[in-house]
Amino acid sequence: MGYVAVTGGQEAIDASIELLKEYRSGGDAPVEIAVLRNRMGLLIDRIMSEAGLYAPDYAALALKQCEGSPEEAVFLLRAYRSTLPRNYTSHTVRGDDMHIRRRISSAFKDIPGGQILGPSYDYVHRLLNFDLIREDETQLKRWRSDFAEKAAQSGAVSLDDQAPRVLDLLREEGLLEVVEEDVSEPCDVTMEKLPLPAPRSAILQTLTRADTGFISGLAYSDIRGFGMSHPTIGELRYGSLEIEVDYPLAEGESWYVGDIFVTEVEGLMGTRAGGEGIGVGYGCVIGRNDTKAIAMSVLDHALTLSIDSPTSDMEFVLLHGDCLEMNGFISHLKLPHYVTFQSKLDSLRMRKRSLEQNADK
Amino acid sequence: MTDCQTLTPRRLSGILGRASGDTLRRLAAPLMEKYPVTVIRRPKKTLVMIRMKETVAKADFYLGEMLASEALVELEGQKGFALIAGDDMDKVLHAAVLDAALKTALQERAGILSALLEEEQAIRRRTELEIQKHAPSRVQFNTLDVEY
Repeated sequence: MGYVAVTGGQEAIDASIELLKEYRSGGDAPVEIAVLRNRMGLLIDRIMSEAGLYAPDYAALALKQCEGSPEEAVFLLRAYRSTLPRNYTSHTVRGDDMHIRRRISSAFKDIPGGQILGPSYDYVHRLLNFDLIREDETQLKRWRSDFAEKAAQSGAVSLDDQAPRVLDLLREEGLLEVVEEDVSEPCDVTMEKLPLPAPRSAILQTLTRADTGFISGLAYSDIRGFGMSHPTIGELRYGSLEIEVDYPLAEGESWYVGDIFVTEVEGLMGTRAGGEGIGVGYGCVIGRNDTKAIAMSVLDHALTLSIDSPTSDMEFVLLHGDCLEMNGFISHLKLPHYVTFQSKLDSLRMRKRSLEQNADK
Repeated sequence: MTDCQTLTPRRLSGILGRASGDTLRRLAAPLMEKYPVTVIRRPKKTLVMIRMKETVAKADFYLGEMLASEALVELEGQKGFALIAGDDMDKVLHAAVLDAALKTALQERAGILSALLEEEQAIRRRTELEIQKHAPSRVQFNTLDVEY
């Protein structure tokens, strides 16, 4: 068969797009950007992390635009980001300098600086709270005001909200695996094709931008038996990092741009076969997302192992977890494949006819 | 004039970035009405790539980008710069004007400096309150005597 030119469909497409607005605007309560940003913080964090763009207001806008679909929101942010110039690269930031709001260790009970649970759903019962259906905004504001007052009256505390790393204790004792220092310039996978085997910088950048569900599932598979990890969380810390750049009007001076909130994990992964010292996996993701940061640390370590495991296969792990790429590829299956599929049918029919003719002989 | 040793660009930007847009407008708008301000680089959005160091091999990697806005102005022969997270174009313009103003000998300079230092105190109090809010979630472990 030949190619078939198809026209029409534009009106249907226009109508489909119009229907999106109908679906997006259901009900009679407006969705304010500020509400999404302030009260759907974990979703905003996830979108920013997977988009690789720290822009809470725009993440909220993207979610509003696409009925709350994470994959569409990531797509929108990535697309918008590609229209902007990147005029600055920050000074190198370190998790050591984090202003900590949550910090836990599964490896040690007593850690220098103490464990701070911070805001976490780890300690709540997963029971639907039907009171929230009729939550009173005035009462909520009063509660927030009382909470702030109670905190303020709790007595003066040090402004120092930083703490040394838990794993430094093990490092000083020489109990961690010795890893050669990597002083190479980082690869930027947003500007160049991911090289394979990937340098450490590309691995970490790819994992931190990856789909939360994808890397969580992979890490789960690794721990469950398809890999070799048996991690203990040496330290998980969440808090803000101050982003600085060079001040362009005076040499040697810095300029503060803003804060970003991140979750950083150092996972203790056990000792590799024939090795000495405990291996460490590193994870750091934009926003408050314990699971993704832990999963990243598991995969970071798994990718250093030379074993026959899906999670130690660099191409498998790094090339299939980008939210935009994987959803884009799956989504393309919905596009017309009329000619290719017709071709398959033609082949099948020809073969069937051929078999039938042979049987008649 | 560079007699604003009390406010390095790092310290000044820490105040400007965390202050509200209204606060900066209140300080910068009178200057802009009274003196000619040349906008060398009009406020516009830019990305800041965040470079981070991990702890295993101490390798640098790119965590992601931050949306920010930048502006460059000139006031009384002094250049002022600002780069602030977000997309508040008025705020970044006012911040750049204030950066320039603190390098001049304008009579308003002392008042602006004083107001910014007051703002710094307010920022410090807000930060302290945030720390105080989280402080009670610090774990106090008690080792229990267990009898078998």
